[in-house]
Amino acid sequence: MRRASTYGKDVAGSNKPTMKEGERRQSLLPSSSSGINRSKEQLRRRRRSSGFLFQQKYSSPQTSTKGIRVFDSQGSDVTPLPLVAVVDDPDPKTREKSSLEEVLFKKGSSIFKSSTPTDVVSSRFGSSFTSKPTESGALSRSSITDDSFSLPSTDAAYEFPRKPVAEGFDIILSETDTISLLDLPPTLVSEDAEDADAVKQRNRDYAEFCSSKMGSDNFFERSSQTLVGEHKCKYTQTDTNKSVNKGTIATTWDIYDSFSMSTENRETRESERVDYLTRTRNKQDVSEVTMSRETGSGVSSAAETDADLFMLKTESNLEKILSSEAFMKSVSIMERVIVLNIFQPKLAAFRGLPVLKDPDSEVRPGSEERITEEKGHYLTPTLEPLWTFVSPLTRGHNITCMTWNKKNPDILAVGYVGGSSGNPQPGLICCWSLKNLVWSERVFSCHSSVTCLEFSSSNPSHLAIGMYDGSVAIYNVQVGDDTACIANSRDCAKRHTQPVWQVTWTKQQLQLSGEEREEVLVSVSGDGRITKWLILHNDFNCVDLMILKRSSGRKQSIGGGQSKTENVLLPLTTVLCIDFHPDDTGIYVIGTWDGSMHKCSLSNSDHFLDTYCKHPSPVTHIEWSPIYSDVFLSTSSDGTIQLWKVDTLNPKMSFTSVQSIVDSVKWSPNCGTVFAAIYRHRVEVWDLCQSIMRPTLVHHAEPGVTLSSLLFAKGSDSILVGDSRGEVTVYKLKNFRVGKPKKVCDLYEVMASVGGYVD
Amino acid sequence: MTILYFSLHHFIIEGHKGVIGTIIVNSEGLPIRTTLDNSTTSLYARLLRSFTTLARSAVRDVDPQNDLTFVRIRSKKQEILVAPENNFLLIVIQNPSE
Repeated sequence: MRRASTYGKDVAGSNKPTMKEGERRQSLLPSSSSGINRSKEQLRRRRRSSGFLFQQKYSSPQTSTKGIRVFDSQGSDVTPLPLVAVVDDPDPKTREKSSLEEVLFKKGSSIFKSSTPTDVVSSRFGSSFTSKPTESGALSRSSITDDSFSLPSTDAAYEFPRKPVAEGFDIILSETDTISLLDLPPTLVSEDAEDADAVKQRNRDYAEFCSSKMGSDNFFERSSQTLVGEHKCKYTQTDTNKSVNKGTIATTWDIYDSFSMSTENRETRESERVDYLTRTRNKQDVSEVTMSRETGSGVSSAAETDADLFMLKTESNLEKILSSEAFMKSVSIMERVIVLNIFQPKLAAFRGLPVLKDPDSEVRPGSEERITEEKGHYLTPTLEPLWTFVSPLTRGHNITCMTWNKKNPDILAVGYVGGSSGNPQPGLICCWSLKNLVWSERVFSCHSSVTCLEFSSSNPSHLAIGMYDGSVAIYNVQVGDDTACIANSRDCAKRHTQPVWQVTWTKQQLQLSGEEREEVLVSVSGDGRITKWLILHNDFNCVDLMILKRSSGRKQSIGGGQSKTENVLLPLTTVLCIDFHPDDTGIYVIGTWDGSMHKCSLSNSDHFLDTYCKHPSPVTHIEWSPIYSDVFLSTSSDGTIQLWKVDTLNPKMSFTSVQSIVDSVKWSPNCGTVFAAIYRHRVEVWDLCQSIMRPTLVHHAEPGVTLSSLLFAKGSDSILVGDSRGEVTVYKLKNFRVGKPKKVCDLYEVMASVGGYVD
Repeated sequence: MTILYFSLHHFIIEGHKGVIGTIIVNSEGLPIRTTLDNSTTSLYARLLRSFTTLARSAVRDVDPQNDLTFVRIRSKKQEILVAPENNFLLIVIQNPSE
């Protein structure tokens, strides 16, 4: 049924344009013709056609013909099949024959179903209609022309009942109304028009064209149907867009860093790129090296090599870190902190701070007793040891001298003797800091034993040392390695030939301008020379201030040029110590081997200003009082300590305790009446306020240990004692000022009270 | 002489009185040298790394030209000392009252 309908549409559609001879092809109008309409159309068509032979015949339903058989000239059966299946026919087989195509194109039993001949045929069929307008009326019997197809002859099937009816019946044929499906009125042109000929010609051309079109291969009619595409749901799957939340906090330092980095980048972009390339190349080299090492080791999986590489990388990383400078610095800071933690109570005592008990430490039962015990006693002044500056490098070396840094009072320089004293062996200088009590900050080695050292005040990092072989050197302690020595008098022509016993820095006035003070280094040595050292254009040179010659009676100095009455070559006397006047730096006092002390002046290199004779034996140390500018102390090997006033040629006071060599005596920088003296096996601290007859505090050295050096600590109630073991022990003066009511003692008062010595 | 000094120097920390342990942590937070056991080491490394970063951030927020040099955490039982650097972290745990 469907087949019939579509083809009916086609034919109906194609009928219309060719009938009208228009130039336009009309689109197919969907004919909504039902079967009934179609049958009416067919009736109409049949009436119009002519030249068809019809045989009305009753035929069985099986055969294609229903009583009408159409034969062409050859005699083949071209009976058309019924267009529409008879509705009242219960036989389903009749429906097959109702298709128009079967009707039209069946040649006997064969049925054409191809579309192409259908189109051609339908058009021809249509044209046959147009060219032969038929008349309505009865079916005419005429001969069948060639190539003309017969009309469906199954009208009888519609009209006639299936079963032959014995009695005849009447067939009434009537014409239906003409249903006009399309009406295209032609354009009429009058014969008298100007372009009538052109129109006619055009019509003729068109007719020729159309006719030529029929048989030509260039054209074929083809219809097409727009297929409305079926909607199809197609599903696809994609990965979900992963969203990552990223946030950052723009801190002040972050902004600052980026800003400074961008400015740096702008300046050094090329160099950085080069550096980066070299660095990456180095890294690659390293990794290549490690890779080659790994592949050479034999069979190893990729994972193993990766792990090994990582291990190697971390190892090399570790080495790199451990050897880096930053690590050293961190370690030193860390060590300081740890040591400070350990020694915190000691340092607090040193600084004079109250020692607080650690609230978290466990209270041991023994300590409590000790505290209560002490409170009950009468407190004698003692030296309480706080800590010891000692390190494996310095163990066993005798300490000869100690000095504080002028600018940073926490730095202590200690000079050590190389081997046993007296032998010129490589000496040692250690710079200790109070921040690290366990390890010295600097260690310098010298070619000879160190006998004296002192820090400069104008260049606080310059340390001048005098050595046993007579050399004088200046070290820069800021530098940690061997380039610290900035001057050495070893190559100097006029160097000392005897041990240098003291070096001192002194600020001198320049001759030209009275205000400026330049600092000069002055050394005294065993060859009797007091020399001033200068550094000029990397040349360490010296100028003799004075040369001391020993004479039997009055000492005379021999200056340059002028000779005195005695022309005898006198041996030079050893100058053991020197100290400059604290205020008037043109004056200094020297102590000599033969026990006499001379006050000299820088301006006068020939004569002494004064001579102080009291000691029978070598004067070992002279020190001006830091508080009273005209008082100085002197000590000598005879075991006495003499207190002198500058203008008096006899000592004001004299202190004796034991018959032992006094190596050194030092004033306390804190209190004007306190001084300390160091004997070979004991330390004595004298407080003139309390007693002038005996020392206030006596501390004995351990057996077998010789105490050799003494130093007070400024701002602190502590003294430092250096001994022959190479240890510097820091003692706190405990209970020193206890017992007596506090009345500030003046040294002058004390001296005045000792009236007997005034000369 | 000075090289000897330094090589003696940086292993002395572990010999000081009261030092419980020393840890060196690299820039990625992995401990590369330690004297404590693994679990304690990783715990200290992880916790102190973030703490040091926070401390440094606090210091530099106030003044970007300033920088953190040392961190000390004093607790009842011990003191944790951290020396932060650019590419490593040196941690020492000390019990100072021993």
